[in-house]
Amino acid sequence: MSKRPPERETDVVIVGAGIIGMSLARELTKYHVDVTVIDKEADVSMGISKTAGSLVYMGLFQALSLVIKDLGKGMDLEAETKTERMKMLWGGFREFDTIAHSLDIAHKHVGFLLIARNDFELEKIKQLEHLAQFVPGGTVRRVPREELFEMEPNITPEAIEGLYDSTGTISMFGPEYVIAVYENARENGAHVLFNTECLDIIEQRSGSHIVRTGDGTLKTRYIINCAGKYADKIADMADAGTGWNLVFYRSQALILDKKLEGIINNIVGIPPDAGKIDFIYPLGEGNLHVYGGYYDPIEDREFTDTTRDNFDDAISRMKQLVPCLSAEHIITSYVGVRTFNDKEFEENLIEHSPRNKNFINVLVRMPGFTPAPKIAEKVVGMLANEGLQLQRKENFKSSRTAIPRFRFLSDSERQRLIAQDKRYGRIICKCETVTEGEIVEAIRRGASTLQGVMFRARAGMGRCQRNWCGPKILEIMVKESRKTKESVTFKGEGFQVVTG
Amino acid sequence: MEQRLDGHIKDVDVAVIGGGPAGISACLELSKTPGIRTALFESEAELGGMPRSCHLFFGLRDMKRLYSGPGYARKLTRQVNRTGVDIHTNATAVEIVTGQNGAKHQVKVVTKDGLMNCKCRYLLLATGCFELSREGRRIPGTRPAGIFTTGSLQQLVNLKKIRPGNKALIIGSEHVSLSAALTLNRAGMKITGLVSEDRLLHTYPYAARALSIALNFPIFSGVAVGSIYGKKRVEGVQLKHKDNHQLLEVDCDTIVCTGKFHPDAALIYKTPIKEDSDSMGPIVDTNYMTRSKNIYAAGNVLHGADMHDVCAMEGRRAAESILKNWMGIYTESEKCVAVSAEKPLRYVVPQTLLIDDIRNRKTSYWHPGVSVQANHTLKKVALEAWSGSEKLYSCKYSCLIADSRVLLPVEKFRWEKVDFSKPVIIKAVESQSGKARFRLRSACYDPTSR
Repeated sequence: MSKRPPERETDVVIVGAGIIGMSLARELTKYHVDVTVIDKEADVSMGISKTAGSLVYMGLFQALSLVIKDLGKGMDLEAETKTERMKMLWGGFREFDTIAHSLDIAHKHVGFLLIARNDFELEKIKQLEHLAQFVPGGTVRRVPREELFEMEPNITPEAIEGLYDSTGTISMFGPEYVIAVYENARENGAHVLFNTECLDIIEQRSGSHIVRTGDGTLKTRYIINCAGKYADKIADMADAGTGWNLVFYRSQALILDKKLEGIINNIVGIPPDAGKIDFIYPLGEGNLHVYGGYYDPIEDREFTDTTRDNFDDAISRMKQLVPCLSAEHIITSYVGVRTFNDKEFEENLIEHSPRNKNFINVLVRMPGFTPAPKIAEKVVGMLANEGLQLQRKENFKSSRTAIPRFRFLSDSERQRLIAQDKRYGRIICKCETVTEGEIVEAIRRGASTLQGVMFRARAGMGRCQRNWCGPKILEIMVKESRKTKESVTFKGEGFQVVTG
Repeated sequence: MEQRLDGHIKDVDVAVIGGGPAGISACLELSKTPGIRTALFESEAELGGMPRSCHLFFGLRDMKRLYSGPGYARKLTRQVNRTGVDIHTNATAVEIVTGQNGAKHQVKVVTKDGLMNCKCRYLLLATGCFELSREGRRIPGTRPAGIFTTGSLQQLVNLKKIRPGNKALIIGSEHVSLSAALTLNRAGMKITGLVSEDRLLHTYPYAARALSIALNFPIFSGVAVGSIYGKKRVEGVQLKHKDNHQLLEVDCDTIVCTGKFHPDAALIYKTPIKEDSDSMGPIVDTNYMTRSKNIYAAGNVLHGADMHDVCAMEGRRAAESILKNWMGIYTESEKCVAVSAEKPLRYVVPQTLLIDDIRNRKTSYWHPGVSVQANHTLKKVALEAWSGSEKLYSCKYSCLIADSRVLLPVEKFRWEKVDFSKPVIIKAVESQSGKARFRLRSACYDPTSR
């Protein structure tokens, strides 16, 4: 006889455990509110948050982001800098350092250098310079040719002039941010249910909702739809759409070997064409991240295959920007899908369901990392207006500590760690210098998949791409989480690493 | 024992990083000289390196008899355990600090007992190589589970006794690809094919054909991997014929990317030890010394990948050089010339030829020496060595197999014509005329695994 599916009661259900969903959950745990996050995937940050460029930005980059989104449509970009969205971005940007500090998220302020190689691009740079002055957070100035090569000796010799923003961009690792927020939210009492797909939402006469999931039902008054790429499907379940559809754009990014650390020190890019983007940025671990090439509209939101064309395009564009880079330096590549709504293409859509005000759609136009804390505050305010009792918790714990990163510790810190736990003295991932201790800690903190271990401890993200350490991580996961080896997956059910 | 915060300090004459064939063989050679203090660091729990997880045909050149891979590893381990070498397993070197102006070099090693700072007069790098991942090969498609390299496959199957899947496709046609086929067969997996991008395989065609008949799998040559499909676990691969662009779909739940070895030379990044952009390992001279004084390198960290026994003999040779140096016989001001390869050749190793040294050596199958590897299997070619406009050497081959070493008998070069200010360039040129022959001595069938 089959087991009766479990039933839970909760105050707020958040659908989607990306940066928006988790930030909102964390914000709600500041109050005496029972919050439950459900996600169909096996871990947090498995959708847009995973593949979005790991930058928190304002200033010039935000101006550039507006231009990319324009896609040649001829929008009034100046007006775009005065929207509520921009205010939330600016608020989130200013708050990021505090959040990163209290949640122990590795981050680095990096400069952003746009270069022009011809008069056409120079003209674009001038436009961007003009636009950037309306965007807060940046410190933008023109850079003459000679100084350009002092700043970045490896950029293309064709560069004639540059535009530099020294304060508007912060580099971090997106999934690490989401994981940090998740760990903190959970510590403060949020329930996060993975592998729990939202199947149906039933509205009750009282205004409450029943959420039917693949793993039992949830009774809740409020539902917040933070489902990102699947926000339309969730809204449909509650008949909560207001006449918008989602549109998707994909682009393929490359990650280059960290032995190139120092080749470029700022984010470098050229002014975008409509539909094409080119920039390269240094990541905290030393790798270079290449965003070069297509910005393609797609029908199938799951079309994240890498393609030969995208590879070739990204490689040729990367070489145009920094000629000493070569295809041989690529250690991995992935496709990210950006999601927009077609009703307010250039805006966030944070709205109540027209049928039931207890259901809120949260559709965030990129970037999502930058405004996340402010969006969370806004949604909490909307919930309060709908009658959610917000009584502050006195014992809210605002800080969280990261897993020690052996690679960046001093010798004495390393020595102390090994003395405490011998497993920090066994290096599992040679490429990224990750110890068994870090992997065990990642699993203890909730990494249930190989990718979960990668994102938390960085094991297997180096140049050999898990081919040396993969079997060892598998063994540790089997031991620590008492799983069978056949049930260890790469990123969720079906992604079995070995089938036996 | 008192624990210092900056780690335990060790002081030796020679530190060897890597306990595979090259590292152990060097230790064995060094231990023959009494009084020399040697330390060996291996990151795995046991010594032996790659042969531990391989199977057949080991030890031919260095031990003059045949062992299985694990048997060969055990033999080396037993031998080195009997010496006075200070052996550390589960000890991963994470950083090299080169000593300036004659100061000792330092190796930072992480062990379960804490950090170790090993000071040494001589350092030997023998860290081996790794295969390029699917991501590094830029094979397009979905990103599912079930994609391995021969290295990870053999770790799973031979060391951990895990069967990774049911039906596997092998990508690559090097010697190691055949080794992967044997491993898959041992794991009881069906092989659905072996894919070679080039029309000519990068291994001995007869051996590949024999194996394909014995294990019943097709060989697809001259096809590119179009894309991988399967959202979660691999479901298949689309292949594309290079000539007629015909598409072909192969059903599999596992992919093994074989070959395309790269030296595992991460320790030399951010040190003054110079890297060769062709081989991607450190630049060495014919004494196996890198450009940094008293730092040596041997084995597959120089040239991913060569046979284990060649690596072992290189280890020995490096040890001999270290000993000469230690005893003060070594003379520094030797005449030398740089050598490099031109496409389609991939690299030449060693990259610096010490003329006096090589004139006294005889290149043969049984000795390591200067060698080149080609990117593609070449038929009817001549290998030529040029110094400026002077031809120093030429030799014809009916077939040069890609990704396997081809020896250059450098002692036979016409050194009287060389211009020392220029690098000697090794070229492979088409050679239609003349009697080309399959040169047994250099490109002969070598049934050993990597």
